[in-house]
Amino acid sequence: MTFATPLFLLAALAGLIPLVLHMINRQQAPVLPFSTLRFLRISVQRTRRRKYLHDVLLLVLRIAGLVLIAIALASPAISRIGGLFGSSSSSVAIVLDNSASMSTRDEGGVRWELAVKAAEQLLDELNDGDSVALIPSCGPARPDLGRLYKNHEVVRQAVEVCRVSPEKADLASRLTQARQLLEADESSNKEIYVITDMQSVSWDSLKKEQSAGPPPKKPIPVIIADTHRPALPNVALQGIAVRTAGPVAGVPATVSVKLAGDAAVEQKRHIELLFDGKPAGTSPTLSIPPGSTAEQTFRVVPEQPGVHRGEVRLVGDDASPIDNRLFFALTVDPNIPVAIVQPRIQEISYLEDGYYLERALTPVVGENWAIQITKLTADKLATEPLSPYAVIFCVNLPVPTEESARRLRDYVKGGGRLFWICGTNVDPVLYSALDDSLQHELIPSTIKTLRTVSTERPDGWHIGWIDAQHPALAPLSEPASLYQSVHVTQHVVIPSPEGSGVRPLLRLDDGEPLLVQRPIGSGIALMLGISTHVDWSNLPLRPIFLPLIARLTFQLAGAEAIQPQLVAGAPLRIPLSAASKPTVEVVRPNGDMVRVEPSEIKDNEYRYNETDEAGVYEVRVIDGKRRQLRAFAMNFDPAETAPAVLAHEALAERFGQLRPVFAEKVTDLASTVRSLRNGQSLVEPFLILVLLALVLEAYVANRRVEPIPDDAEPVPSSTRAQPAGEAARTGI
Amino acid sequence: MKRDTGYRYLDPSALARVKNLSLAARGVVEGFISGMHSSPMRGFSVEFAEHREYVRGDNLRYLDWRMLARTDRLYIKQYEEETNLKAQIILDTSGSMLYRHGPSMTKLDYGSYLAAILAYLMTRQQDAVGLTTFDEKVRLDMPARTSPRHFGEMMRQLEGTADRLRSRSEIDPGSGTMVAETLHRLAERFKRRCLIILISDLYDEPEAVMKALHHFRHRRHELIVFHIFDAAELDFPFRDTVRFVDLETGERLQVDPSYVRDEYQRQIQEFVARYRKSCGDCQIDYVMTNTSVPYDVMLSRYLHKRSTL
Repeated sequence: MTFATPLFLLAALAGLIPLVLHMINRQQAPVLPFSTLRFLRISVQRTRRRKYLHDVLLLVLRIAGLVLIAIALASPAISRIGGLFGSSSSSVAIVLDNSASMSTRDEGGVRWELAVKAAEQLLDELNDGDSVALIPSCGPARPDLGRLYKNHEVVRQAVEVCRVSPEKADLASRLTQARQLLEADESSNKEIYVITDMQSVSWDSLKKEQSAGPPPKKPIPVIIADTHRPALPNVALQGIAVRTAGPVAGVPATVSVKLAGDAAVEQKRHIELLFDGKPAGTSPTLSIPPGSTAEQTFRVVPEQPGVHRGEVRLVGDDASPIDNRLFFALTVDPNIPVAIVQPRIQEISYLEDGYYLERALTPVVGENWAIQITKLTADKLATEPLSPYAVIFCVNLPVPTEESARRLRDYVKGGGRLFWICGTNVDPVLYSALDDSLQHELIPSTIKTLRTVSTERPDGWHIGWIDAQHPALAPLSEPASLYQSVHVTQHVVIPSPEGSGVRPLLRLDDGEPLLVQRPIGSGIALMLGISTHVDWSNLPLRPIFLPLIARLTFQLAGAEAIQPQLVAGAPLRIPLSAASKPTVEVVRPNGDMVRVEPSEIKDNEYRYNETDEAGVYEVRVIDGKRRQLRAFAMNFDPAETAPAVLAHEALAERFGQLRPVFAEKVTDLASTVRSLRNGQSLVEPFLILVLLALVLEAYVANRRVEPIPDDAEPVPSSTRAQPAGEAARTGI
Repeated sequence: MKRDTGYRYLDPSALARVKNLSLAARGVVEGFISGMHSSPMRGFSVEFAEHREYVRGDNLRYLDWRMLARTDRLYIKQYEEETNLKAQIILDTSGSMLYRHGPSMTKLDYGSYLAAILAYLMTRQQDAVGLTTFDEKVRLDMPARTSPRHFGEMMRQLEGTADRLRSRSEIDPGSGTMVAETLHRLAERFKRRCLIILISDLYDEPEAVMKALHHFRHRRHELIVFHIFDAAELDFPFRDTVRFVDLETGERLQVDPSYVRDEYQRQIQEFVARYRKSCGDCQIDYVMTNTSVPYDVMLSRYLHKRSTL
């Protein structure tokens, strides 16, 4: 209960007046002679207890009446958030949900517009001296956010510049942030207002947040303003996937887009593709049944190397504009730089261990081929910069020196693709020992022995299985004769125990892995258990060899993982080596460029966190002689298109004991705030109680006092007639 | 009023109302006047007492022919022993009788008026009447006489008593009352059967008072009890808290009238009812009245009622 004018409570001292009057009257009772007290004495004795109770009741009623009047004058109110004296200064934190779903247009208007108006109304209702902080749910950290200001204009401007973010909201963590902020403040009244559209995903971590910290010393009331209204029909672009055979200029890429409908009736929509800002295709009319999805595929050909920006748009308007656009990026090199490292370079190239490999990687002679090969000898591994190469093939190398091995390990851990090819120079024992010394970060698996034909298998082995799930190998799985025609007479045994992360890509007909891969750090290491010459198998001579090597190279160079979907707000993680002191620039979707200081590179990785804007982020890395370009597409969080809305009661249950208060009308948050702050007026009930007390007092006070006619003066003279009933009284 | 009758307590207008009434003894009284009271006596005394005017029905034997001859008026010679009825008016003059509420007269005044008019009636009908006043003890005792001088003396005694008591402050305690004890003493004193008229508020223990009245009845006296109240004693019209002072004892008691009124009235009614019942059982005329009722009206009603029984 709060009091708007608490000074009036002093008037409650008037409750002492009946007591004082009683004492005064008791002393000042007039003295009257009376014929005899014998009957009065008895009467007083017999009515003493009743009189006492009556007096006490009267006293209580009179005191209660006066005290209730004083309370009513103090304008009492029931407030769930105010203190006893509600007008003291307050600290208010406004947690503003600006996640992607807030851009949705509902029947009541755009949620975000409602939220901004609600926040402004809230600011209008603050008193001078109140502190307020704005905590948006999404967006980059800004110095003016998350701090308490007594100057409300600062927060008002922050609300004005705040925009809907494509990110997903984590209101629970923002709530914790708000609580921590207010707990550090010394104001007597503290309130947290959360303006949100009640998306269920926004509160996923509430319980975790609540159980994480110690319970608050003094619970801070949370008031939730719900901007969600019955939604209009909406179609969301739910996902995009870009695939290409190789990330090089001229190689076509397919762009697959998934649409989801959130409407009660079937939706018929078009989508269009923009590639590098130019229209690159329009879909036919797509039908999206209620609660179902549709898919459309476009084909684009990046003609020039570099970063290509793509955007898929839903044609026309619907409830949520933010899920009508999806971005993708395609970083295309002029070709794929590949290094083939051999023990030595022979004058007769056929004698080289990588002869067939080189032929497989360069089937077309000319400058426009997608793969550019650099031939290196083993001794160059210690000095040659390795990071410019997309894939490094180490062909039949004797065990590398420690320095070379360390550089290869760093290369693969930093995101490089290292392809080990066995041969006569490969000593499994020495390799395994070296791998052990490098914490198994050099080769995919610990190799053991060399296996040759024996009496048991005089004809050797054939490739008996190919990983049809692998994107590069899938096209090679049919017909089976394509790989079953490969005859192996000798190979290095490569174990692939379960749970080790080693993935077999090819197996011999007895099940022994022949080609395996394992992720190491940010890169991938592969090992082929046979040589790529004809001494151990006929693989180089079989038709599968060229597509196998080429597809694996393209895939390893980035075709498969081309621009995975990133959601806005997720950090961009760019593997870098701080030792090389690279220069990094990030170009945001709006064209702003951010230059990264080398000190910001930690643990061979640079994290760019300001990804609150949907679009393509271009990362330029200048490392040594080579300039790398990488591009990342940030799209809205698909979770934000989920229609699941949390009911008030369900959310209140998640809060546990510290249940929030829900504002009745987000469009009239001002009155809700006033109602919550000032509370529901209790003046009328108190006045009713006063009236009741007065009526009761009058009843009780007069219950024993019967009216006595004032004209009952006795007439001694005989001229007066005897009153009626006098005969009965005289007994005559 | 005094100019008219010469006595304070003899109001001409009241006399006018009761002049045609008479107070007759119900039973046999030891006296004789023809037509009024039956007497156990025969003959009359030769001791002349006084003359009185002839009343229709008087025995012509006692007509004073000489006076008739001299004055041409009819007079009857009266002798002491010829008194038809002896009546003794016993008036309570205790402190409680001085009570009055508002402009009304005190109970003592009311009783004095009543005593005066009764004495007048008795004297007028040739009956002997005496006056006794008492509080804690007998203060005045005038034996019954029939002579006008005696009546005049009674009136002066009444006025003197009233003046003496009135001179006290209103809240000064007056004399107490010992109704029962006094009545017992008086009952012993009156040898001859007579009419006892008790005028009192009877503020004593009813059982004791009734024993005393029984005593009179035992001595074959006829009794009339005028139980006098002030109207305020019956209605208890007080509203605010009052500190009452007992007029007899000086005792003080603070009372909130609104609380005690019902109980007080119940007590008073019970008090009256006990007297009424006990008197009825003993064939004592019991007349309860209060000072707001004109005494002449009350008396004429009573005498009229008594005459019809």
